[in-house]
Amino acid sequence: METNQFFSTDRFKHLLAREFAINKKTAFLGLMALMLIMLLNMLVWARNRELGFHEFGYGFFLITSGCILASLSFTEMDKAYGKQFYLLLPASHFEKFLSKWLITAICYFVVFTLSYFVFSFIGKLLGQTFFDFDIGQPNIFTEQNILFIQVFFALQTMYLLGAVYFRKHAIFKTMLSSFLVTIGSILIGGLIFRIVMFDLFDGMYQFSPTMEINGKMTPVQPSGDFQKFMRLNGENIVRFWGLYIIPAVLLVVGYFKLKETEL
Amino acid sequence: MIQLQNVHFQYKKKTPLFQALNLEIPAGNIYGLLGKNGVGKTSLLKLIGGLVFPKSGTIDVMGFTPENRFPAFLADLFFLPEELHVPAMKISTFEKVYAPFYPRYNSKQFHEYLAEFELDAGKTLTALSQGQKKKAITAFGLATNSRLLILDEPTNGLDIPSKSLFRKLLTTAITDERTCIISTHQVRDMGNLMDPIIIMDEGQIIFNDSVETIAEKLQFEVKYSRGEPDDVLYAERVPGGYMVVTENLDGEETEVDIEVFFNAMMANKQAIRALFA
Repeated sequence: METNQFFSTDRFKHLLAREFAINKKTAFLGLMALMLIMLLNMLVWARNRELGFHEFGYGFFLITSGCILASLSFTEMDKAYGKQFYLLLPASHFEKFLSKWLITAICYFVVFTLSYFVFSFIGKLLGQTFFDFDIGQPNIFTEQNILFIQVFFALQTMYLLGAVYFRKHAIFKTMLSSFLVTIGSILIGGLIFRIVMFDLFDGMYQFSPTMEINGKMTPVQPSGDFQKFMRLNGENIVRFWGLYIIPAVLLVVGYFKLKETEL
Repeated sequence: MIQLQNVHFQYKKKTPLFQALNLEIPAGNIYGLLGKNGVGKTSLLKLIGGLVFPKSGTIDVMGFTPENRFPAFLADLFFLPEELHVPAMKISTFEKVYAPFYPRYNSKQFHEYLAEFELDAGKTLTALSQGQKKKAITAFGLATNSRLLILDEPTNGLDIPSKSLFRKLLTTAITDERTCIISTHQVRDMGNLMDPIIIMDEGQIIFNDSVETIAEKLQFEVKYSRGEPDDVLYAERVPGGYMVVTENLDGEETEVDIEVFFNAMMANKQAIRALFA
């Protein structure tokens, strides 16, 4: 008997096989429906607008469909007996969570991208044959599309956590709660800033702070080095946190939430 | 095999269900878990299966703490709930997908059980009636050869021939190393299958002993009289008279009627418990 209670490749393979067996038909039909909607959009968009469909289409459809898919990851647990069946499946929580992440993030990304290329090619042929226009070829390696892919992986973790956390209507509850958390974070962050940096404020409003230095009132500003550092690295820091640190934390939280799930 | 020590448990925002619950279940029998509605039978089974967690106290099942839900523990446990969730796939696909998770799974046994239940492995699970689903999953559960089988109302939804078949299969499937806990209200459906008997009441185990011990301590007999007999521990009306439970003073053993015993226990708890103390 397998003695590792955390991860076993055999068990993991069985889990993936189970996911495939249960979801293959729905997944195939869902993907085909998505691709047809995308193809239709591709043709309509390309006829009416100057901006190429592929500049935003890939990212838009990847992110929206990916978030929906992640939200549906644990629908098996929507009903009590389905939940019982899933929780009692002889695999570790880590294997169960990892299998869902692997399918809804990595596998979906690969399948979606390949399908996107196939349907783009079909769209291109249809456009040239019937409508006499060229909708162009997609390129996922543009700076914009790479950012879209990173955003997809980041948001996917949030919706996966939502799927573990909420029993029903996970997508809407995840949207609502992420909106509330964002608003809450801004308010709390603003409040902390207001309290800590109280001398920069006059009532509710920030004023141009000055400080008496050597008998002269001098405007107080961050040091030149700090400004320079933030100008050069600020965006990277925000990106790093938003695209890597927070998603990693969300994945860990999701795993522990699954581990602590009771019937 | 199963040990619960000083277990406290309650569902969120509800009154405590178990306070200082203790229970010991050795391996190798078919235990009958009886109790009134809402007494916590299913919750106890869920605690043993690691589906809900105790607020305090310890639970040891086959050397594992159930709430960890370690794969080795889950591979040695099969829990058949009262109502089933089945995936939309053929019985044969179900076997192919789920059997690899159970190291002692025996495919030959599974197909024999299916044949006994007159089920075709090519049928889709979701297209089956509730009773047929239960038969298919029961057949699978028995074929897993897991050391612990938990069956919650296993005969609900089964037709009369299937109930008898279920008893037969369970008797052959349970070995000295396998333990089965059956929670049921349909005591008569189970015949003499369940032994020992565990009775729960008010969040406590009020009885946990073998049918043999019950027969040693109590006598069950029908008294044909119009008025309710005196000097009995319990009496209930049956056609033509009363089924009475009395203390076994002469050492002559009678056939134990589990349902009557349960009713007697509920009606005259203190006196009957005193006999078994």
